[in-house]
Amino acid sequence: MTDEAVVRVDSVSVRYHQNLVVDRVSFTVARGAVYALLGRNGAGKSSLIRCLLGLQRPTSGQVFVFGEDVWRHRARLLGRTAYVPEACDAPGQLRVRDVVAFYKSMYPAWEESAVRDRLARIGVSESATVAALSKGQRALFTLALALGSKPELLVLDDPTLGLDVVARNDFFSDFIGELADRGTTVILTTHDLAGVEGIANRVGILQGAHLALDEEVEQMKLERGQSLEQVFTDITRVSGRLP
Amino acid sequence: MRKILAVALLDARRLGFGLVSAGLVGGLIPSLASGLGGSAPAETVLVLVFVMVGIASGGYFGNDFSEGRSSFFFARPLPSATLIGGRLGGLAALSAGTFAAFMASYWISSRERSDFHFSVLTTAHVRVLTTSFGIALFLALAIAAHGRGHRPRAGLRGWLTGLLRLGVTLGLFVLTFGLFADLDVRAYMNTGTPIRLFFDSGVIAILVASGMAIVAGRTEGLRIAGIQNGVMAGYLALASTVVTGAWTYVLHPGPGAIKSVQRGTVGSADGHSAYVVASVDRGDAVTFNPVFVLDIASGQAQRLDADPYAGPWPSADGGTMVWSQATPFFFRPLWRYLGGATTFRVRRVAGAAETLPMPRKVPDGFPGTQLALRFSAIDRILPSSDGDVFAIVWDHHIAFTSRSRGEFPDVDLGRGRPSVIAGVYLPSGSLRVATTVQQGAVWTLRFLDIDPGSGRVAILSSMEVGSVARVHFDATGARALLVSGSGTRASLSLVTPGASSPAPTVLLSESVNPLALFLADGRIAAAAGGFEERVFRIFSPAGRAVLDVPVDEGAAVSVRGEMFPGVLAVSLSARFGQQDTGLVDATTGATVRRLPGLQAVSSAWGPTFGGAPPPGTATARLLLSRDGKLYELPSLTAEPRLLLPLPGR
Repeated sequence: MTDEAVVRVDSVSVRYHQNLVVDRVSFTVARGAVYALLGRNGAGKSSLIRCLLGLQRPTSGQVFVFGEDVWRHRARLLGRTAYVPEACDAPGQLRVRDVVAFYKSMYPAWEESAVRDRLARIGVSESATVAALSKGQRALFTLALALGSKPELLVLDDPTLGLDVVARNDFFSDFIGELADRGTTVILTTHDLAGVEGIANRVGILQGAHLALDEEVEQMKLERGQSLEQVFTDITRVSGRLP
Repeated sequence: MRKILAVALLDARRLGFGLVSAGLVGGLIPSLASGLGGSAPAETVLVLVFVMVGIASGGYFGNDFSEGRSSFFFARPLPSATLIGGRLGGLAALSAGTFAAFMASYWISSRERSDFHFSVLTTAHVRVLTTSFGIALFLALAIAAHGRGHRPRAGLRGWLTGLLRLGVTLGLFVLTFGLFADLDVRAYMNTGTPIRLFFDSGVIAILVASGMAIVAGRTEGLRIAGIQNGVMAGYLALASTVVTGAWTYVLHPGPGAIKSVQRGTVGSADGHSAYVVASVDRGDAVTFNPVFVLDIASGQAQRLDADPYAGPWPSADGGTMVWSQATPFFFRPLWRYLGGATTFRVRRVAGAAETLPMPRKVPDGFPGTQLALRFSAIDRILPSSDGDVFAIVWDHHIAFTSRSRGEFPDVDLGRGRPSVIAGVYLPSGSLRVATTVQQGAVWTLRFLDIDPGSGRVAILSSMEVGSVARVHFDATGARALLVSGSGTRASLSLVTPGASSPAPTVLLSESVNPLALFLADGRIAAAAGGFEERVFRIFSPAGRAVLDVPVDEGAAVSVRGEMFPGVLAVSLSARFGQQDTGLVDATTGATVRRLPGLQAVSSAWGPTFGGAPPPGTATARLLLSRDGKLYELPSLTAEPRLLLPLPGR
């Protein structure tokens, strides 16, 4: 990990009509860091992630990825970035090999053999349609696709949502294994605090449209003497209502 | 290019099988229909196939923006332009593949190879494909954008605002479309240019709206919806402005816009005005021929906003005029439904236009289910000379209304669905009409007197006639000229409808296209024949031949009107040459003047319901050149004076 910022979120706000879901949020993610962006449902995590990928324009503020405005240079910057959405976004009627072929044509540095190996390892047939895969297979398939482009930045939006314990463990073990081999910068949102505690080295917690916490995980534990889950609960319970 | 192909290939993979199958099945339909004794032209079936291709491609494209799906394309290093290019490439590939499948199946299934032809693809198919793609993309994108998570602001205020915006938008659209439809039907029906412009611009607008929404909104539903709404609102505002401007400009030409005067122009019996049917410098020349009321003495013309073929209908003295006001026809059913008045108007000379009180049973409006009907179902309205009573003739019926007394009782014309072919008000106030009834191969002509106030009908006389009968009353209704038969076997007779024994006096028998008119002094001028056998004869009021007028060798002759007292305007046509007007002294038979290249506006048979302009009046002295210039002949010796188009055009 170096001090060079791969991602710089600069006073970003997102508003839907009168509803301000992200209010002047700023943070940076250093190269090689694993940044966990946490928050309760509707806290604005996904909106922030979309802004971070240039999929959505912030109402105000800017997001810089690799030092460039991601909204303006989305297509170029996403050549170095991979995204794993909370649910597989590939059209269900496509076959796995068609999706792989599509990705291959998108990324010049595509690792064909590595992707095939990974698909074989998780038991995904290339002739199967995306819709025919199980939820866990789809999550791992999406991760395989993301890693196949050899990204410098990997963004994951609650990728283990709805997965059972075994599938979730498979996902993280695969993920951690890959990360060990590369210096990939990672930003992920998740509700699986236990799962993320072992891999994230920095955490941000969104609460009430603001970034209520942005700290190194180890430093946070040291200073507060609490687990990530306890800190998260304390911060997000402030509103006093269930999501 | 590699990325464009990759995107296109994805669409081909997702939709190829289904659409190619549809093409194969579609190609079988023409032969199947033929085998079952029906007809399904390949061109028509291909339209449906292309509609499917367009809807599927556009729908899939738009649907890819629904929640959870949009990142598949946008989270890739794929510029928006490349994405759009790839989807259009996919559309092209799918269209080509489907078309190839259709043609192969069509060719194989054609039992008679002569039935098969390659030229089934036209520009209409491309238009259909583009339109269906654009609409499907727009709607699917809008649905995706308005999906869960991207709902507009909630609450009563939000809903009310949304409803208000929707209402204003729909209202503006209906208003714009109504004006556009009016413009198209009234001024461009022949070319159909506005309807193409309207739909093509609409398709371009929705494509632009969708394209801009995709480029600038990317995956954000709210922004996509906002851009779509914004572009379409802008388009609607622009279209409303353009259509309103075009409607105002095209359908409301002044006399300065007149390029030429058309046949169909008639002189009013008031002696000083004419109803000029004109070609103007806007609209298409076939569809749009506005009517101007011309004051001959001053040369001032004023447009009469009349529906085509629905007036003006003047009274026999020319003092009263009825017409159907050309209100935007698209809104007429709604206007009627809301209790609006008829479009028919009446005006006394130099008076203001008033609404004609139409009887309830008269179908003077467009039923909502028959919007395709362009014009009124009314055949004719005949005003009485006092401008109070009006006979309304439509589809084997006649009804009366009065401005002072309102609706009159129904009139029963008798059995057999008689058609009213001529009519004239008598001094008593009754209407004398000629009707024809067909029973098998026999046509019966009847003369009836109808009392408008009571609706009583008196049958004066009845006679069998040939298959075609035309009747022209004199000004009093006491005599009538009758042509029965057609072509080379027509006879011209003088009939006295009110006489106890109305046996016709044959004036010309077995003649070619006989025409005749009553002179102001009661005599009758009649002419018939083609270029070979011609006859031009003057008869006494009782129908006795008194003078044979010599006609130039090789010229066809027809009487047009009595231009000056005792002087007839006669049309002389050379076989391959121009039409001249000869002014013939009805007493001596001498041609007193020849006017080369000009035709008298008045016509022997027109108007069959109205009165002829009195000889010597300005209206009787109107002439029309072949190139559409309207002249007045000031005297027997003076040069014709140009009236329209206005000098300098």
